[in-house]
Amino acid sequence: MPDASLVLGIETSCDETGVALARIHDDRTELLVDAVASSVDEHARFGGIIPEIASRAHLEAMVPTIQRALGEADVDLGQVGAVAVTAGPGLVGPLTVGAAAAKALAVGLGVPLHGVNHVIGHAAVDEMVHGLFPERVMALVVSGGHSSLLLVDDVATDVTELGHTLDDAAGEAFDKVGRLLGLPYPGGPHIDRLAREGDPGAIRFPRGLTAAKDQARHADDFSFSGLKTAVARWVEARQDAGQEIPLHDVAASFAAAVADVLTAKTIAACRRHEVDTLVIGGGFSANSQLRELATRRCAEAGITVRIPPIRYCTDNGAMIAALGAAVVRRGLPASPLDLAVDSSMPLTQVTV
Amino acid sequence: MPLLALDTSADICVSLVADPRPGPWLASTLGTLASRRVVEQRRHAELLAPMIEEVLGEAEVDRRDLTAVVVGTGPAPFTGLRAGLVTARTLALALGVPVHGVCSLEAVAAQALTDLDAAAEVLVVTDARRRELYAARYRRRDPATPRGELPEVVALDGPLVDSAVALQERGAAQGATVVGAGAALHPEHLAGDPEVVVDPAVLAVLALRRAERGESMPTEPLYLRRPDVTPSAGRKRVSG
Amino acid sequence: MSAVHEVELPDAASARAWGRSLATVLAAGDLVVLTGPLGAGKTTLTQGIGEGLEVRGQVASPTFVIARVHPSQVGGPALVHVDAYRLGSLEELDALDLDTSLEDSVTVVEWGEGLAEVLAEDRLELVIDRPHGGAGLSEEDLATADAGTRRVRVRAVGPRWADVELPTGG
Repeated sequence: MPDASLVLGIETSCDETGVALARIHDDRTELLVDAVASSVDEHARFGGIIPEIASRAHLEAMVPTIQRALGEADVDLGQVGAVAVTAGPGLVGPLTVGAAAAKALAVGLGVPLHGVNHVIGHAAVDEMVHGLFPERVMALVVSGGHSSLLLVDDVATDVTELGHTLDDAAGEAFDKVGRLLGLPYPGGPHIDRLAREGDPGAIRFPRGLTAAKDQARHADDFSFSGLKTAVARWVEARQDAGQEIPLHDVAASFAAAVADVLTAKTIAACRRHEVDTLVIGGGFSANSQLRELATRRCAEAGITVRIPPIRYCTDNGAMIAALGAAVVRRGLPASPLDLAVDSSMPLTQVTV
Repeated sequence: MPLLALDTSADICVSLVADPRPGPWLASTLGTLASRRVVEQRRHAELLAPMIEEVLGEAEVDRRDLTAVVVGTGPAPFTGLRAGLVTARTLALALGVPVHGVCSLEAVAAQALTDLDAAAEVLVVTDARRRELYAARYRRRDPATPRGELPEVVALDGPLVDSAVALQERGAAQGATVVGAGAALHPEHLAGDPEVVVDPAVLAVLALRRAERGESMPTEPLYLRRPDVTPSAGRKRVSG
Repeated sequence: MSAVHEVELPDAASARAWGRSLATVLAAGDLVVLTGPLGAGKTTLTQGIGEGLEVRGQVASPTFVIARVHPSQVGGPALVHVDAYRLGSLEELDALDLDTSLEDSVTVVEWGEGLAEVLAEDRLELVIDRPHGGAGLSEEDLATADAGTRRVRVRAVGPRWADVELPTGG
């Protein structure tokens, strides 16, 4: 018999096939299992995500990953009370595979389907790590594809997008600077590694949208394009002069600029909106400078910072099960079976 | 004992089929209880699940009474085909019933051969986009199968993907009746009857018979094309 | 058949404005190929095109996802924004698994030189130059590194563009 408190979450917005099971308790949401199959090795050959390859991998991984999750949690599929799935944003083909699978499960099990927002899932997953959210939290979601600042009054019903990147996402800026420096894809981890041995104060790269003139319109927005161009021109000037590029210092100074802007703007937003809890999620929250700086600055500002362990920051089914559980907990209506995936789903839309 | 059969290789179609065993497998006794067909190139993942609910509702069949799920494995353009396959696989998982895959072109061939002579051959062509066709040539497996009875088929050529011109040049259609939606696309090179399309009930019958013979019917997709986005060979110039 | 047209865009606002003007001559089925180094302003220009087409969503870099579809808010064509940097060939958009078609959309391909030409016989090829190097170690120089005039060379290829007047400088 279906158990209404048991939620199965499916995530396929990019290149990880994630299936997780969450159990809703009165005072917490418990993660029972989080199974992930990744096609990232296939992509590494190609230097990044190729949508068609990811979609093919999702199709092959879907049933085995569901079975693995059920087996590890010792749960029978018939006990699942609701199915949650990423409806967007993300890659259309991969999203389509997950949505079709979730719909078939919902039809086959006779249980409700909940299409939810991937980016908000990156925040919601922390409810299973550090407990249910207080009334109001700020969420900074930073990844290869997103850099967004969200004011979360209710994670299932009331999310306001305060700001986002106007050009490159933080992770994307890292990858592009990685290109400039001749590092392999993805550049993020390489720059992070180089940066640890460099001087973050060596080069004063610009902090995008922090000037007084940008405060009115773009106080909560990010821009990393100007920073990227500055790094490009700095490197070009050095090359033109026949000088060697100090990779460690460039990486450290660049990473410092990104972490500085992200944390300064986020903390300013917390103050402005009188929020005392900050959640940081998304794959880029693995970045060590961001973690260190956010922890230090939040402590100084009296803000509680919640950053889930790295395995819950990257894409996974747990984030979708967590958000699905939040939706079910509030008794929200099911999504229609004809729900369409949405590659550019607005971040104010939690459910479909 | 109903089966659910679906195909997303061209149109999106779903049929609820009464298990007609024991045969004979007359086309007139396929026993379709309810069916839906939508002619759409996209939106497969949106439309399919509601169509499944509709056929179950119309025939007043409880999903828990389904005995198997049958799915067309293509060949077909990627996104829509995957929606059908993942739907069939996960639905079967949820219901705890087997899932059977049948090449979509074989269903078209079996249907076309039903009313042709014992020795007849058909070339089935469907739209592969990019100005190409999926094609496969078939005949009856057992020439003794009487006319009017849905025959098991055997592939003589294909399935493959190629342009209509190339198919014409290699004589793919010579001596065969051309059928399938692809026959309407390049009539100057390959003309035939485009009205013969996949009937999920035919997929279901072929699957049941193969199950009786103990054949395995994997649901692997027939993409017939590699993921055509190839990686960048060298480093591009990123600096000005 | 091709015609060359040049514009100078002194800053990001003018680049965006020129993109908006360009959008007025774009229709479903059109292809725009953008070429230029990192920081040239390809995404900025595309943002202008997106504004002009009145599509939904923030037009940002599609590098990570390779392609992003922005549906129209006014019943017009969608904007398909592609970053082909990591791709070596691009026979058809089908391969990107977008569930949308060239015919129904305005397609803008960044880093598409040498790849995207096969997508359509008619297309606009835009080559954007930005100031090179020069920025020293001074904070002031780096802070303004992203400023400076962009020169855009537009090559209109194919009969589609034969009688179309392209917008002049922003």
